[in-house]
Amino acid sequence: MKKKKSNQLSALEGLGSEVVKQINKGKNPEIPVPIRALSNVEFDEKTKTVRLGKKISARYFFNVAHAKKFLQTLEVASISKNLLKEQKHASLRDVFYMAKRTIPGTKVNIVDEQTESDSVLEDLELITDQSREQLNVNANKNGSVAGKVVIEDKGDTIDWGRLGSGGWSIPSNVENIKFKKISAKYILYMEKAAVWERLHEDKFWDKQNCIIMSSQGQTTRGIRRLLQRLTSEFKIPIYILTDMDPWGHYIYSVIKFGSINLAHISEKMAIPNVKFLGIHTSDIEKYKLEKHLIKFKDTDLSRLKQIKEYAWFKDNKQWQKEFLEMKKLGAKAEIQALSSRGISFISDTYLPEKIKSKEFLD
Amino acid sequence: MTKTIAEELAKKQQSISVSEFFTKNRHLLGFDNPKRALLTTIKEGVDNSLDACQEAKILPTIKVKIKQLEEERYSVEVEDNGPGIVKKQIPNIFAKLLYGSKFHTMIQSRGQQGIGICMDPDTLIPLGDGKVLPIGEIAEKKPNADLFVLTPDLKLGLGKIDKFWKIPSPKYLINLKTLGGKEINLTPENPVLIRSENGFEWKEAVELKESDYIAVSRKLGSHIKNIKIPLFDLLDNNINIDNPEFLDFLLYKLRKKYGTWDKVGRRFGISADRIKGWRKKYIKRRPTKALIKKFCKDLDISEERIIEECTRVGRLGTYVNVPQYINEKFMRFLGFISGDGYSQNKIHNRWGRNISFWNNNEYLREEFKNIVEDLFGIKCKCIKHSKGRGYMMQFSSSLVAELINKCDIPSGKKSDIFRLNSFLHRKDLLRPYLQALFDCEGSVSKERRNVNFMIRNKEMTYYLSLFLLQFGVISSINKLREDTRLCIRGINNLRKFQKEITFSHTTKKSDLNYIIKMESNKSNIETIPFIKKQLLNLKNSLNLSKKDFLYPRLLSKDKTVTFYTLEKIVNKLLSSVDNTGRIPIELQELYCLLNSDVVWTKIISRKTVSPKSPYVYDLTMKQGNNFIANGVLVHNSAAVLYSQLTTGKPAKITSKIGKNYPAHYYELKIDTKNNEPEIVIDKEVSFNSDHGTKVELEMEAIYQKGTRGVDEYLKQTSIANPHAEIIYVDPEGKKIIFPRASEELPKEPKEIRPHPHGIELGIFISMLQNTNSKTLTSFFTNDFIRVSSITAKRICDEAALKSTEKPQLMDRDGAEKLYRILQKTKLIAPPTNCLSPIGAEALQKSLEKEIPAEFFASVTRPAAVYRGNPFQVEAACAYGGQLEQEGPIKLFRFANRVPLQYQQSACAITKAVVDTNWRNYTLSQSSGALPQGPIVIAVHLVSIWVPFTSESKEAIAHYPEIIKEIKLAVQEVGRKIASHIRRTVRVREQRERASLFEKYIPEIASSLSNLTKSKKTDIQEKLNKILKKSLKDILQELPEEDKEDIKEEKKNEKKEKQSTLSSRRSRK
Repeated sequence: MKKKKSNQLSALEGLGSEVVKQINKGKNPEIPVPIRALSNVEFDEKTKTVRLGKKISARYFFNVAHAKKFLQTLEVASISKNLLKEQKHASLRDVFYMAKRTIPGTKVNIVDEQTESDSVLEDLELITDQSREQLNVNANKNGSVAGKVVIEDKGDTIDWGRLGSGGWSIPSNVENIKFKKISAKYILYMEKAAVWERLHEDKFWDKQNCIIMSSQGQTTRGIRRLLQRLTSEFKIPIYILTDMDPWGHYIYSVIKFGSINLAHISEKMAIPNVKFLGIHTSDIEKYKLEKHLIKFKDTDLSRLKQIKEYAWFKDNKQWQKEFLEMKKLGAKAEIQALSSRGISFISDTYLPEKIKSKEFLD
Repeated sequence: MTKTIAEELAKKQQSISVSEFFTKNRHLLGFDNPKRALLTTIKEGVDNSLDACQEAKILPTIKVKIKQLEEERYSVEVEDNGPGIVKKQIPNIFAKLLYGSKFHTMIQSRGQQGIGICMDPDTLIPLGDGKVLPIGEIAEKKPNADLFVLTPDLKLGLGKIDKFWKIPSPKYLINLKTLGGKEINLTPENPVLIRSENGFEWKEAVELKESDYIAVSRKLGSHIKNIKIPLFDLLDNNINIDNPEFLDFLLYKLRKKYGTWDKVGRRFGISADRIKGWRKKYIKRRPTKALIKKFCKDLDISEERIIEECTRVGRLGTYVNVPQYINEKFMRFLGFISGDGYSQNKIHNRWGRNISFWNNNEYLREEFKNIVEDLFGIKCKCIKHSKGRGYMMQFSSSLVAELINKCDIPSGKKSDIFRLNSFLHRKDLLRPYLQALFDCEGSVSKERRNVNFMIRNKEMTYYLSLFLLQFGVISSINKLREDTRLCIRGINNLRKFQKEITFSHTTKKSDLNYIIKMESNKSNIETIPFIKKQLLNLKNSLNLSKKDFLYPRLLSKDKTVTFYTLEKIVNKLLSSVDNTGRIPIELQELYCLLNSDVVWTKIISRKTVSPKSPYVYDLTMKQGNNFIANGVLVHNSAAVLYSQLTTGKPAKITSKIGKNYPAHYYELKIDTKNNEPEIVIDKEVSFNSDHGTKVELEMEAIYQKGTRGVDEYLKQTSIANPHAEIIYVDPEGKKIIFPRASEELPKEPKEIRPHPHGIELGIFISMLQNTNSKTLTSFFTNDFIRVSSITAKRICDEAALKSTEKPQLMDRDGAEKLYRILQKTKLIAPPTNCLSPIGAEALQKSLEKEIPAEFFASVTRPAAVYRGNPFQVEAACAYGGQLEQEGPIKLFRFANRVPLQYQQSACAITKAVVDTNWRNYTLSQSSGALPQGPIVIAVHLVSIWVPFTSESKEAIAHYPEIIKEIKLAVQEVGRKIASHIRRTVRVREQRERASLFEKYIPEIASSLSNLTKSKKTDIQEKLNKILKKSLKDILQELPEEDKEDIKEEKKNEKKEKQSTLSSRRSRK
């Protein structure tokens, strides 16, 4: 354990000493950062995951466009080193506040928004080849789970079926959880916490003998890691339920193939065998949701166009057909649109029918 | 209760002093714009000098001096080094100063201060003695008449005509129609009194909107001169007087005076036989009126005696009685004739001319019969119409028919052309006339509760309505198919009509009684709009509560109230403030409003029309500057300038025409009767230059600085005329020199014939009338450019007119047809080499010398054409330096080298600048407004015909072609400003960034020392060293983002040859 920590420390110190070396040479100091963008992302057909390419950009200090980012990188590295030294964990928000201050003599803040420090942290993961959690920075807890599972975490035994209305909230680091008893047949992951609450109230996981899991919006690393562990360690199939819109599809895409932003950790995160349960374009007619659609805005359309072009969707005929249908509809449907057929229509009819018929998109 | 209030009101009326109110309203009703007078005069003087120098190819040096003589009295001196003026042309200077004499020349010339704030010649003006005359006739008939003038307490008092003005018509007039059917044609600048939310306001006719409330007269208190009008005066001189006794009396007196009949005969050029014949009385022939008058004059017999004796007159031995003086009966007779009468045109051999009166009312017929017998001693016959169309009274007399004609009631079909001769326009005479007329033609509508009068004689209804006003009766006029209807409505009006005129027709009389009984008090049609503000003022200053106002709703909503309502409010308020003793001014104001002689009526239509006559007219009053015309209160502000210029003092002109000629000093006065200047003094003096002219005027004015003052005018004039040097001495004695920026004389603009597409119908017609060409073809080819004889022939063919026809004989329809075809015909655009722009370089130099800025740019666009008129746009700008950082940019507008200082918002230049997207050029701009920033933009439009929006020539009309060109010019200077701003901004940003690195270094150093345990100061030092070494390289890495918007604009714009220029001046 201690040794591991020192690995991380030396990685950070290595970054610092590399910069100092350049300064001592009288050179404009630079930090090499692999590019995290669609242009530097490849789809690995073998592993079916999104992988980071080999493009690297140099971040210079004496460059008007780079100076601030350069400063932020070193600042966050320094913060992270302190955390490791003191063996404390901080949240992303904490890091933001630790870095946020005005540079004396200017009106410039080191960071103005949390997104800046978050993004620098992700860079740092790449530079040091250490994950965020390994650098003692955790994301906020986000997401709930319920089902016929018993685990042990930090010495506590927790039954996911006996945690009242809230369920178990998933921590950002799930590496140290031990699964003691699992009898669920499948995992249902949904985009929306509200839908999760609906299913939880209907005791859907009990009736169907499954695990229901959700986050609000984008799937956090903790959830993705938890999903991956469950499916790889216990071979439980995972079904994804999202809104019928490009954003929902991207949530599915991230879980299945990994995200562009975090392509460097895809191998730890991607779960190539998840299946897309809904909402399908074919469900619109089938479940009479025509009158409960939301018209596409321009942003929706352009996002749809982008997703359609992603390498991992491009050759997938099923998905291309789905995208085409959606474009024809010119509208999106939320999961909650199903409530138009009755509040428990989703748990009583829709999901059981779907799972029974195994009409999934892959 | 009401009576006591009324009584108190009467008492209070005495105590209300209008003095306070007077001071408040004086400037308003005077409307003398003394602030503008000074500027206008100097403008004319300077323009004149610049033009004269240009023609003589002299680089002008112009001296302007203003001296204050009294508080509002200045002397103005404009001196130039021009060619001087010969004596013969001296009077023209005055004409130039007064009218801006350059009319309709197709040459680019400096703006003309065309004044012409006047009205159509047939505009009816009510005179103080009750007469109503068209303004065109007043000059001839009553040059010293009293007119109605609005006094500060809103009464119509009498004022004397001071001067009378006849001015060439402008291109168009404004036609206003009110809700009550009043109609007037005014020049666009003629101000009209209106009532708005802010109270009273004079507004130029061109600015009036439909739904504005204008002042029209409510009553005209004419004063009756108790002078009897002898009927004798109406008679022709060759008429025979039948009074044998009086004749004998005269003849014997004459024989006594001259001795024998022969001598009497010789004295008067008549044969003795004739005299003998008269004496013997058997000769039917009697002496003529002229002869009798001669006799009486010779014998010193008074006029009254003649009138008394000559009451039987006639021709060819047929005589009728006539009354001595025009009396009520005679007027009633005329009324009957005007209404239902008819006089034959044809003279019957035996009977003379038939005069008949058709009416189905027996009583009226009987009355007519009696009146005729009374007046003329003739018996009427009652005749039943052969086809059963009722009855008529008829008698025959050529003499009576002549009398009727003399009163402007013609024979034959008279109904749509009859008038009433102005000598009969007198309240006492009008009353019986109107009564008889209404007895015949008037009717009472029980359903509509009005008295109306239908007649196919539109003009006469305007007269009638002004006649009725003398009795305080307001009438409205509206058109009903071919007829015009005069209508009297509203309880007050009906009561007054009943009291003053009424009917003698029994049924109509009782009907009138009936509708007055039925009509409620609220049907008062006289209304006052916009009293909310006044009521609120009253409430605030008196600390009244809402309850004190009878109708509290009026305090929150600006509603139009009737006089009746207002009267109730004022009465209530008067009784509630009674205890305080003093009547507050706000209440006085309301009281004056209530008792005013004007009433407010809505404009229902405002149109531009072309003038019917080549001249328009105006009057100057000795008291007040307004008068009633066609019932509408109008202002005579045009004349204010004249009267100010001619405040008794003559204009002084000194002129020297060459080195070897003596300088002459002239004094010039204006003969207001003929409206012509005359030289009163001419002497030789010394002059401090080889040639030149000096004009000195004394005038009543107010000196004003700022954007609309003389100082700014001269500064801008100097910018637009870089070749001129202007020396200005202001009233404080401070000397300001605007130096010459260019030694080059401007290119002489060429005169070209008008292009058919650039001409307006009115001008086209006057060109047709005044041309020297003998055929239409030659008219088109000689009087216009770009019309070939083939085209001319084709135009004539299309209009179905002979190409050999005389243009002078063309009627209006034909002219309009030709004009329309001409506009449709495709023609080559006019040549553009006739223009003389300032030039981008000279304009920029001009700006550089007057504006303390750091950056300048300018552009001259290629010439373009709008509606057949060539024009060209130039623009220049100044940026930064000492210009104000905050606030909107300053816009200088020029047209043909003359600055435009007024009506900025109405001008095409402003529109083009506002419509340009200045955010493209890094300036901030809210939509629909000028951009913000330390910038001066000067835009100059040159054209042979600058399309001004109005005669005051202060704003350019919105022609799309012109706006487009201005925009292109402004965009170009805008781009230059933008690239300059970006350049300066970039330098500043670079400096800021370099310092940012310095600030970053300690932060980097501390992070690194934390990571690596190297010394912070060490790292810091080394980084600073690197920074110093490579600063230049670092800053050059800045992103280039400059050229985007240029690309964008190039799309809209074809590449054209342009002379452009930009420069940067270092000012530290």
